[in-house]
Amino acid sequence: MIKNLINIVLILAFVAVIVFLDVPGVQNVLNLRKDIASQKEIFIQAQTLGDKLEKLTKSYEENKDSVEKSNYILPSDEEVATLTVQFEALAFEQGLVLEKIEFTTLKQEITIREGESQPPPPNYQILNVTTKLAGTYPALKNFLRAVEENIRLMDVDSINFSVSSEETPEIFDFDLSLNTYYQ
Amino acid sequence: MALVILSLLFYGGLFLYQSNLKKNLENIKNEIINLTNSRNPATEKIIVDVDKRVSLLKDLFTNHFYWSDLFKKVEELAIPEVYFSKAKFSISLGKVEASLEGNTNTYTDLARQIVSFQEEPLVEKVQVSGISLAEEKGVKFTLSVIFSKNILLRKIND
Repeated sequence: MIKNLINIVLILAFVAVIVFLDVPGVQNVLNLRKDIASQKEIFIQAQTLGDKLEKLTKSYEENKDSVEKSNYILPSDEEVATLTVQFEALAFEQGLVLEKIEFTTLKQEITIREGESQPPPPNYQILNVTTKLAGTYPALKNFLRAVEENIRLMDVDSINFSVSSEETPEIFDFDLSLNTYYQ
Repeated sequence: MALVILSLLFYGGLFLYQSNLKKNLENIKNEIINLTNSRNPATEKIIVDVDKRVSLLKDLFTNHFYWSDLFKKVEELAIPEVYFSKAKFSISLGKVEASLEGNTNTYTDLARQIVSFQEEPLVEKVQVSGISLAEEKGVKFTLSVIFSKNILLRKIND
């Protein structure tokens, strides 16, 4: 009778250990392994990102001069004063007379995409420059080449020219409209 | 009895294994924190900004206009007997529109000039108007030429 009772107690104890200790323990181990696997993945991603960032930082440090130059190509402001000086210098170097220069800020058309309440800010702004120049046709061509290669990016939009007077057929009046950019 | 001892031993083993796993998890979490802390958000922001700027510049340079190429082409296409005294060039709807007022000695020269423009692959349309005898000498005319916008663009390397 006592032996049977001991057996029942032992079986109950065995079941209790299995149910209350071993099963939750296995469950915990499985959960921990799952957590470790996900954390390892996060670690690998962080490490890969870190390596990439390190390379990018190195590349940035090596090309800092070029990055600085990009500020001249696309400045953060209209910089009308600098532009005026640049145009005067460009015209003078090519033998053209800069008779007039005007600046107008152009508004960019931005479309609102579906699901967006506000349009995204434009990546850059456009400053339109209209100039009146006088000089020879070869001088205009050289001026255009200089504008194309100017450090501050400029795109000519329209060119009109006509002979200044019949007495001097080699001298033309040029009307140039061009766009330059800033952020 | 043996089963109870075995299940207790199994639990002991599980407990040790669990502690080990917890320590491992903690180590990995610490390493992630260390990696995150070693990053420099200020430099990263600069890099992101530079990347955006480079993309923007690439886009702007892809669409950068080289008007000197257009003038070179017009010079190639202009026949020596023609003199252009007035010209208008503008960009409209993705095309380059040119209006050229000129003089030439004969109608044949004008016809040669028209054909010269028409045979150019980058020219999409040629129209002539205002053909009349000039007051002094020769024939005056206005040529309207539509060029493909590609005439202003150059291929850039990546």
